[in-house]
Amino acid sequence: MSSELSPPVAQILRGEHTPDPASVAQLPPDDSAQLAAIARGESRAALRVKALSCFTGTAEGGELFRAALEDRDADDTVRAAGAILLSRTDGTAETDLLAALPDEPSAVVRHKIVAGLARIGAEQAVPALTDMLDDAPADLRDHVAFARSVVAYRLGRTGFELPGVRPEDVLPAPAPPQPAEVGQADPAPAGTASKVAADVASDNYGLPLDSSPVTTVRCGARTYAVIVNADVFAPYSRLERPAVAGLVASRAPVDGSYHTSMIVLCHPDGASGLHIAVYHPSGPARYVGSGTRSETGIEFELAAVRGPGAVETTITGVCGRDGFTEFAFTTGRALPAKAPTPVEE
Amino acid sequence: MGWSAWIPMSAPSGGIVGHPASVARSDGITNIYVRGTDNALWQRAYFGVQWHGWGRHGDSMQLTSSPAVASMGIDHEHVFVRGADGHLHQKFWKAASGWSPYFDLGAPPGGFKGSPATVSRNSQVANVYVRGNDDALWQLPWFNSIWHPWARHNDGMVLASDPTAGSMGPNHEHVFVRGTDGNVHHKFWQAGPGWSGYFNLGAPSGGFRGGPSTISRNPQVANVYVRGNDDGLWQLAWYDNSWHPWGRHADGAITAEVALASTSAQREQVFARGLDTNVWQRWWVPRIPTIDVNLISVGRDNFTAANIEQMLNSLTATGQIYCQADFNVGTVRRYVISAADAGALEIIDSAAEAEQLTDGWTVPNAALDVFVVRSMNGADGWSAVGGPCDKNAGGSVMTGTVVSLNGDLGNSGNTFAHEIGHYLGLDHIADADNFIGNNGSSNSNTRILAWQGDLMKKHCMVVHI
Repeated sequence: MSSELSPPVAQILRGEHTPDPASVAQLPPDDSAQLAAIARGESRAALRVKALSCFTGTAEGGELFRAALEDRDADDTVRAAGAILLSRTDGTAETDLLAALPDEPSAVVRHKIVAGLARIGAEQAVPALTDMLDDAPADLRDHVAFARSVVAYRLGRTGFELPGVRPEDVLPAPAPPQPAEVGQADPAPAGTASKVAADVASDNYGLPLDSSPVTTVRCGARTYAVIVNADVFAPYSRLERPAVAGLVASRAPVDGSYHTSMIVLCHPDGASGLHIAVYHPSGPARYVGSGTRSETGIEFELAAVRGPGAVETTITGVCGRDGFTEFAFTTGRALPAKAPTPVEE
Repeated sequence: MGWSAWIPMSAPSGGIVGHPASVARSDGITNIYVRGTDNALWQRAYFGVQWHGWGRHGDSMQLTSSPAVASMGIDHEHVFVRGADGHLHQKFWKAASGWSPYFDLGAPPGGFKGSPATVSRNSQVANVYVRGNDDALWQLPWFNSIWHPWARHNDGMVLASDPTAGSMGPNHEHVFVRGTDGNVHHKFWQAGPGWSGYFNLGAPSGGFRGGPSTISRNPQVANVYVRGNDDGLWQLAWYDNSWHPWGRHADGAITAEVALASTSAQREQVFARGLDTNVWQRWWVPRIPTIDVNLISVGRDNFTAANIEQMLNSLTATGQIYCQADFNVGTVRRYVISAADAGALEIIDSAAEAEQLTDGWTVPNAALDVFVVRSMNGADGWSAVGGPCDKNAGGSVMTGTVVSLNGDLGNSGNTFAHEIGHYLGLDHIADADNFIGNNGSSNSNTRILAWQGDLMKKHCMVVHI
């Protein structure tokens, strides 16, 4: 770390993970000003990105993130950080993100802006993203379409349903003699729901986290928290319209923090049927299937979508307003992942 | 691990002229000196567990040779160059006073060719050797706190290269030269008997270019390196009280004599000028348990040269942290994922995105996949704890580690060591100075405990030779 940094600022920037906002708030004024100056204009992008992340959850964050997003002289990693942090901090950042998107030269920053718009879920993003679709570069088009659908599903708007997955792209169910691993689903241990709610608060895609039931699913070394959207089972069910039916948060083994790793989208399919699909927040579909609505809940069955590293999976269950009453998760053979290209030394 | 891969060390703008010089005056400090294309002296320093940038010496000396460097103690370093006047010039650095100005040390009668060589066999003695214009070996000694007159070695040897000098103890010194027969010749001095005659040590098959370089990392070992006529690095080793056959390093092409340094009795560093006129480094440590690594640049199109250098040096720093526990990074293979293929995952926002990266990409070999992104938000890296050896276990666990170049080299060096440590089974600990300590906020710290090394060595990916 640079020698001109004050010790408290150097200490904060050394953190392996984003510091607690309280530790930033407790900095003496001179140190706080130094940290903000780095976040505002440090020429070393890697240091500026770290400084920006220190302002997550602080009052000054919004302005600093906005300035980073708009800084065309900065490295794209700085603008990406601005987009990500702004969308997680300021629920009204869609105007800034929409303004930045058309002329942003960096593909990865455009991806982060689009992901941010999906995260915020503002209605005005729908026409803006629709306008973008025709002109969007090929690498971004699928992500824009996905983001628009996420916003629309969240708002219960029809007309933007995601296309179904082709049958040949759905992996078969795990079958003997392939070794099958059975996931375990349990009611979340005490305190899990509040921790999950706190950890994914800025990635909640509109779910009412305080009232939504949480179930933990363990598969191999991974632990997931499955959050069912309480609104789905409220009176005048949203399942009559497209909806974000739930989220899946994965638990990081190193520190136990939860991160939104999948979004469950569903829309009506016939009189009592449902089309259900589970997506990564960056767009690719991971599981697809169907459900049947009844008075007590939804009975569903999902299978994995073909893709690099995808694993044959069957997920079945029954879900009601208090969470899952039945849940089974079975995995089998994994498809090969993609291979990075070797560098010729 | 034996020999590391070649690691780029860049160069002053425009590259370097001639060959580098290097010295390790303590176990944590190494300096490289080169003659830049502006004929100034340039220096690159390793301290604080990281390499720092190239710096130009602000004096007016115009070098007409490659520099030579040695140390007479942990707080002393001196550099010798040939100036535009054909004289030998010396400047020295002391911890208390910094750099001195240059001192003119003259030249042998008749002058000298090429670049000087220097060695200090103990803290009271320094010797400089040059090839005189008469092709004889000339020596300028420092002892009793003064420089003594230039002296000619009247041994009949006709030098066909600059000499190189080393020491295997406080009362031993040896010189290697190329003779007119194209072979390396060796003579040594010992307190008491004085100088030996020359011994012919032969040459690599195919011969070699330029002159030899030498180092002794401890009193039982000496190594001589030359640039073969095939531009490969060739090595002649002394251990077990005898010289062993010439051996060729399998990889890399060099374009000048190499510089050597040693930070410990079991570590040897080689610095060479590559085909790109940049400096490259490799090092040797004993074969100990190692973890082989696939270093994968995610969004490679957008990596700058500085990013790549930081990435490679971060892995070097990882090896240096692990070495303290007799564990090391072994074979490093490099891979790339294009920005187009990486898409949104070129920059990582969360552990979930890191999982998505390792689920979707795998190098089909037995080494650990280390995915390197330029930037990460919310953390500097993510990993499984005790990750699997079966990298096709996608969906149930991260099958590699994901690290970023966040912060400076001190940060990212720690990040690489920290996340690889997680994969090999380590959890955070409370020790604030530990590389995986302070409950996770350990960035830039380098301490490692013996039990942590022992635990990592038990991981199924670790190679035991």
